[in-house]
Amino acid sequence: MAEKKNKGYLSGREIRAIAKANAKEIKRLEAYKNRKADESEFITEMKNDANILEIDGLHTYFFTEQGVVKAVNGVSYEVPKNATVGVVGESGCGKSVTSMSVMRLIQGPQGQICEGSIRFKFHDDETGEDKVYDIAKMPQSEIYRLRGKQISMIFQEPMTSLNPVFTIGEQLDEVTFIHTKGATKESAKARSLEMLELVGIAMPERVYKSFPHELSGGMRQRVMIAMSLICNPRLIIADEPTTALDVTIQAQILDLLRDLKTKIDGSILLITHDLGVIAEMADYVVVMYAGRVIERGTADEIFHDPRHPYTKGLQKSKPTLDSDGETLFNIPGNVPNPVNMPNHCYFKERCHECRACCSGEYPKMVQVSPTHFVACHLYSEEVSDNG
Amino acid sequence: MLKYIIKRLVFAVLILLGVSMIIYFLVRLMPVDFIQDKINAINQGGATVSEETVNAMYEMYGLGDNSFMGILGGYFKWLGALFTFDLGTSFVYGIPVAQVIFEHMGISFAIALIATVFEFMIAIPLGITAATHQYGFRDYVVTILVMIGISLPSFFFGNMLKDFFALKLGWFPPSGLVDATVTNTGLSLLWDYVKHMFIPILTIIILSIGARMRMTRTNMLEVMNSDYIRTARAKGLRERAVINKHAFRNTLIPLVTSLAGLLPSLFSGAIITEQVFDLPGIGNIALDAMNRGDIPFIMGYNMFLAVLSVLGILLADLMYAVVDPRVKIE
Repeated sequence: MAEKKNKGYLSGREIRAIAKANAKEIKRLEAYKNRKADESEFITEMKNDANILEIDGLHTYFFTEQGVVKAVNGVSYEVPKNATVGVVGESGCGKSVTSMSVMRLIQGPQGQICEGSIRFKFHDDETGEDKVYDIAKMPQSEIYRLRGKQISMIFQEPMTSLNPVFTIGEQLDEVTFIHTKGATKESAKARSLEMLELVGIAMPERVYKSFPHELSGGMRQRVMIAMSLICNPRLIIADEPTTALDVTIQAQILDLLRDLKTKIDGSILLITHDLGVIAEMADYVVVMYAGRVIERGTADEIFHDPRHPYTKGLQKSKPTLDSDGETLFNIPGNVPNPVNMPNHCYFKERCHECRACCSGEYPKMVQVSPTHFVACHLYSEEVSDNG
Repeated sequence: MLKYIIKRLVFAVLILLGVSMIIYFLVRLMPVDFIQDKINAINQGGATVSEETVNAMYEMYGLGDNSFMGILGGYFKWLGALFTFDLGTSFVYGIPVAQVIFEHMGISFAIALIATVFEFMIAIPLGITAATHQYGFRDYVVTILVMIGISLPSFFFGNMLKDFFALKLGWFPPSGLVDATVTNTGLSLLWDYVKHMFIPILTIIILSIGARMRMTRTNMLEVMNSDYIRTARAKGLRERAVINKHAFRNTLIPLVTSLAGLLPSLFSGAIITEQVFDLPGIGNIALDAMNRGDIPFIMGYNMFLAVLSVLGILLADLMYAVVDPRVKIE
């Protein structure tokens, strides 16, 4: 508990100072976003050519009246080609904000990508070549080439994510019209129906003509998935796709997503707070806490050899059928206030393996196996002891 | 659908009966006496009117008995005439009420229609601009300007415009509907109308934009923050298309229904503005009738508006089903 640092109330002078600093920073970042830029400004190279997406030191901040909320504070992870990467973490840890940053859907002017790069392997349809673009540096006017075509997104709320005044067909066809040159009404409709069928909708013709309110939640999520598939995207971001659905429908949607992985030529970035979902779906797992990645590795490593005390805690707090205890395990304490993040490890106050060195600087990422990384002093000590 | 409309119309008749009864009683209780005023006028002319003549006049106009039962009787007499499509004869004008309404409605309707069209055409883009640039420079400028518009009373602002454009600059005639000094026909007559109606319409537009713009802005902001707008952006739609297609179509829902609700105000006339510019519209006539106790006219005018109000509400409900696919009328 860090309420002593938290004054709770801000004086008028402080509020004005914050507003002034925010306005200045927002103006600079907005100007940067709206600039006209040549392709050479945001073209870059992948660190590892097997990856489709590399997020490197991403900082996404929200400039609020109480101060700057560092929702994503130096996040780095990568999505290999044709793999499913799961991102787990509790509510508010920045996993959705990271994915929104990739789509550049952060609600401005308060929310801004401030630092870092998001490298994405862009497939140029005209030349047939692959180029690497840094999404964080792209001007707003260029981003439309990626959204919906190269990267698509499935949202958490199927009930409200479809426009209530347009039919499913109109909303699906629109994607084809935006991204395919020379698309006709017939070709768009054929593509939409094909996708509806692919996501397991029994009567695609009927759903095509329906309005969103005439469908159930599960059906709407299928429609959202169909919509995300229309342009054969290289990366599908699924932001808690099953959270708003009931359990049986959840299972169906997960089956569908798993099924799709074999059918499409692309990667899936799956964001969830449900470890069960991750265990079923993901090849790689990224664990986030308070706007930072604290551990990442293959699904096997994270589930069978978790290193970070937080990851261990998460595993323990998962209900299982054969657990005898009546109460579930929970990690004591709360996430620190996002406005005044401490300099030491964010998990220190809640950690039962905390040591003296934990009061020092924020731990660096330590490699414990070729694919397994963890940000914890428990392991950096080992490294420093050895060398 | 048809069943629903018929059901609503049946209810509408019941509502109108209640409304007419209330209005009739209120009108009969008004402290204005048309007969007394008339007699006073005759008396001032030097002639004397005998008590019997006075009583005969009260009887003739149907105002003899001011007891509860008398008023009730008067009401049913009025209602009975209504069923033969007779609204009665105006005390002041001596011609059928329907004819008075019909003659003066045109000018008021023209003013209101033109003003409403411009109001929507100006207020909706302003509201959208303010919403899409929320807390930005444009938002503040638009908001401040329309707030000034909302706050100005029409008699003050109308007179200000009249003073500036008509009296100081002399661009427009200050009042009336036609220039009485020349006889115009055809196009020149139309031009004369335009010149006379310009300032009144401008007054009404400026004063009414504010509310409509705020309404558009609020709706637009709500829509812009909804999940389906995020979906539209995620599809790769450009911001302009997101606003003009996905957001605007949803903002239209409350706007279109409020348009249907405007039906009575198109015909009611702008009482104060018509007074300021001395226009022979129905608002002006109605105020005059009220002051002089012209009971048949007040009844006819108010019932006319009541019918339009009820129809307007029904129309608004039907419009909902047209613009919002989620609404089904059963």
